[in-house]
Amino acid sequence: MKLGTDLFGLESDSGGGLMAGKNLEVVQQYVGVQSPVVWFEVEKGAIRKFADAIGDPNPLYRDDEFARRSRHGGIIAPPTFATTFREGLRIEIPNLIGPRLHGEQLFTYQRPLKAGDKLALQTRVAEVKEKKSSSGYLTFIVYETEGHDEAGSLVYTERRTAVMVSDQ
Amino acid sequence: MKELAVGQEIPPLVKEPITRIQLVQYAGASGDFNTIHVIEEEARAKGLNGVIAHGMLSMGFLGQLLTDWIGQNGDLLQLQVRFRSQVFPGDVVTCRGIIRSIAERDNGAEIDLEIWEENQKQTKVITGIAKVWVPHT
Repeated sequence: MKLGTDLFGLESDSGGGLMAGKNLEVVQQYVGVQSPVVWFEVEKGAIRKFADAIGDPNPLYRDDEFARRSRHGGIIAPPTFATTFREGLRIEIPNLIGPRLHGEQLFTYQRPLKAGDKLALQTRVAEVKEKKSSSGYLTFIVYETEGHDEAGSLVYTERRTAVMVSDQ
Repeated sequence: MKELAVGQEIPPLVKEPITRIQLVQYAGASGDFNTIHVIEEEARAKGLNGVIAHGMLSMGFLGQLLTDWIGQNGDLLQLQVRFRSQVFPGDVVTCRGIIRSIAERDNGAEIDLEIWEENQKQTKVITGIAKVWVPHT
């Protein structure tokens, strides 16, 4: 299957006696596996560079004085900023077959991320699903990350779905 | 915020054409250095027609659509997308949203929206849903 094919028009789920794909068998052993807890600081300069790359001129991301007078009381980060937190969170699953695509992404926010926040992040393999198509197997791997602040309060949850495409 | 109604479209966000340098900039800012976004030969070697934009960059545009609309006193509560089609340098993407439900909560309105991003050929590159809260004015 070619990269960029619409992966989600496929209705037929696996089951009904069909043999499971190799990727499903591999990933099932990793469901529940967690990364270490990794601390990240939300840095003002990193927020501005991230907003610049998106081309978002919102003053809440770059203007100290404007942000201080807002109800947030200071600089906040754009909604997808949590994607910058990577180092140490990756859970390697060896022996996967085929190209890997980013299929879906979900963020649930308790509040915006603020400059100066120190967040404890942990990722786990939350779920694996498989769909079978005429051309092979689609394996959906869901990684869930939670971010808690220093007070221990949940700030946001992220669910990232990777899709593996394989004919085995 | 003006009168809200189910079925109403929110103001669209038309982005500047995607540039290669923007993909380099986003790679640096996000830490996603996957070579298919920045190195032409690597992208072609992987069967693509050239470098493609980061899916998360396009999702960032949808974030901007919503935060522009709700303003600094609104809250974005949930943002969920499905990546459907590739975005290339030179593409001009437009982000759009339609109000699907409105519920009263905490002296404001909790609003569910259907959101999507389309390219200059009106192909939907991302589709999704979002939940926001905006105060009554």
